[in-house]
Amino acid sequence: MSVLTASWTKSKTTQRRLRDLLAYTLLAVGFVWFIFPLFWVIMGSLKTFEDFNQIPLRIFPSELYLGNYPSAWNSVPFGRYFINTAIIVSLSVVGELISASIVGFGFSRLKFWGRNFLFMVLLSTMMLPFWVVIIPRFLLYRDIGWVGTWLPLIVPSYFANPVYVFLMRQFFMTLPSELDDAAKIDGCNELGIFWRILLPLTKPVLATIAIFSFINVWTDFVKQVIYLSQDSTYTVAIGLAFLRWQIAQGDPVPGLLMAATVFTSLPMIAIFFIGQKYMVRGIALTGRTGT
Amino acid sequence: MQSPRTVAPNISWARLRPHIVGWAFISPWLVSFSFLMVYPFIASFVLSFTRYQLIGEAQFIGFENIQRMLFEDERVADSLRVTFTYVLLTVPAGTAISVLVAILLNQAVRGIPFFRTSFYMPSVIGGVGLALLWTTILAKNGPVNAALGLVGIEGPNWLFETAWALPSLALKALATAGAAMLIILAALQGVPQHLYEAVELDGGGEWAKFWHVTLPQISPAIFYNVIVTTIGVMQSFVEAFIMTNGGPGTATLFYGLYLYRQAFEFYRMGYASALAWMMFLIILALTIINFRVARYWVYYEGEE
Repeated sequence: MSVLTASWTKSKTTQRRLRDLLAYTLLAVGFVWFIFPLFWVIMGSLKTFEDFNQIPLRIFPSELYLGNYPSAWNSVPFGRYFINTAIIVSLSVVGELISASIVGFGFSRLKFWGRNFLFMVLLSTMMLPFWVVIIPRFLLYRDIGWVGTWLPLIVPSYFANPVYVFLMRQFFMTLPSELDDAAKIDGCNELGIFWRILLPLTKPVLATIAIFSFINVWTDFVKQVIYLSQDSTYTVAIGLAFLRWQIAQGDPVPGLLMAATVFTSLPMIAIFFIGQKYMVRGIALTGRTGT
Repeated sequence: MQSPRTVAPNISWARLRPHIVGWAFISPWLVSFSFLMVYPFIASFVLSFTRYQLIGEAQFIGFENIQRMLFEDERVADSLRVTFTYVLLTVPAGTAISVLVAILLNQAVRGIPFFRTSFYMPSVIGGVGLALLWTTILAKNGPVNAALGLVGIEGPNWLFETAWALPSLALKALATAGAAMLIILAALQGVPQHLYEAVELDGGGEWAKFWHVTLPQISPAIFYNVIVTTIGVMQSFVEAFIMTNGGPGTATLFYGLYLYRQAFEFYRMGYASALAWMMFLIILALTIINFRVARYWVYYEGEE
């Protein structure tokens, strides 16, 4: 009997070990699949021109060559583009936070005519293709003289992005309604309930929205390329695209392109590491990463 | 005698007040909804029937744009073919990968947070940066071809050969599908444990657990991903714009890229609006089809 049990336990642990081995093998494959491109570009940014033409191809640089970074930084006015992008992004993030929390509060904690219907409308607009509205928007902004400025990139943030409203609403719904009732008894009006009672509780979801909108605005190349037309207003993404077209026209330094890819991705990666917890929760909740 | 006059407005104010306050709170969205959604949506429909090159007045030309788009402009058919092929290359495979990777990340082994972070990280770089990164990966003398060289295959110049350019972009899309994976992972973690225990009691193995519990339970999340990625992929632009510029020839001429060129390189606002509305109708049709097909495979709690 005891022998039987022993062999049974043993086979169970062997099975368990085999399972773990399989899991780790697949995880390793996945790791290479997802991370290798990033690793490759970092290594490439540290390679000299000669390193790229060696056969067999080398993974690691022959020496730690840092020259690609200053050349990439100076080949396009990245300094100015970084400042421009930072201004656009920070003003947009503030707008998304303010407007999404106000509108999200309205849709979750207040009762009014048409609320459920309007919320369904809001959800359905999340499915509306960007391309079907971009042309009249462009013409509208042109007519009020905004094309060529940052305003079309920033101002809409202050008028509630449906995805962030949805995120905000889902969070507000989880807070007990007794909070509102108690505040009402204490003589608080809706604005007071929103500002003093509920908003301080929404910090985690505000963090999620801040991170999503940071990343989305920073990488939103399409709108930037449509609305901006002067060098002094350009963004990091446009700078990168310039670099790409220079290369296509025969600039022969892949390391330079890789260095630019690395330093322009750093803000994203930094934000990702700081706010990973909030991002994961936000994605699980909304099923998307914004816009 | 005075009381009705003073009381009546008060009552109606007390009644009206919550509605007014509610609408005031959602007013920022009402503004953007009206001016940045409803108005452009209708305006682009109207523009579809005009010729408008940014200067002067838009000229009404009836169905000329639509006729050209459907029957005369071969590029439209090309770009639709490219876009549909891209959807077929990325959505089913991407869905399968996201499910498999999520299941892998749901295993009870050590170091999962590390793997989850590294699997998701490339997708945050996004946009132009990610496109450039993959341009260097797929270069003629890049690492993909070096790896193929090790097994004696001479790899093509991926992004610059007609047959390989679109599959290359699809490969990039599959290696950066982080968000979809996290949605499935969240769904997996929400599957009630007692359902697995029930299968065990019935003597079912791992496969039975996966087939009868896991898959039905996560099917709504999978369905959601299919809807959202189909809509997103149909509108693809940046990959082609940065990596291939639509080429070689029309091999990667995404519909979104063609629309962009018509609108913002040739300033044919009327024609581009017609293209945009057709994109809207196609996406709408695909979404409806997806919902119809969902009846056969998506499981919702409380449904028989």
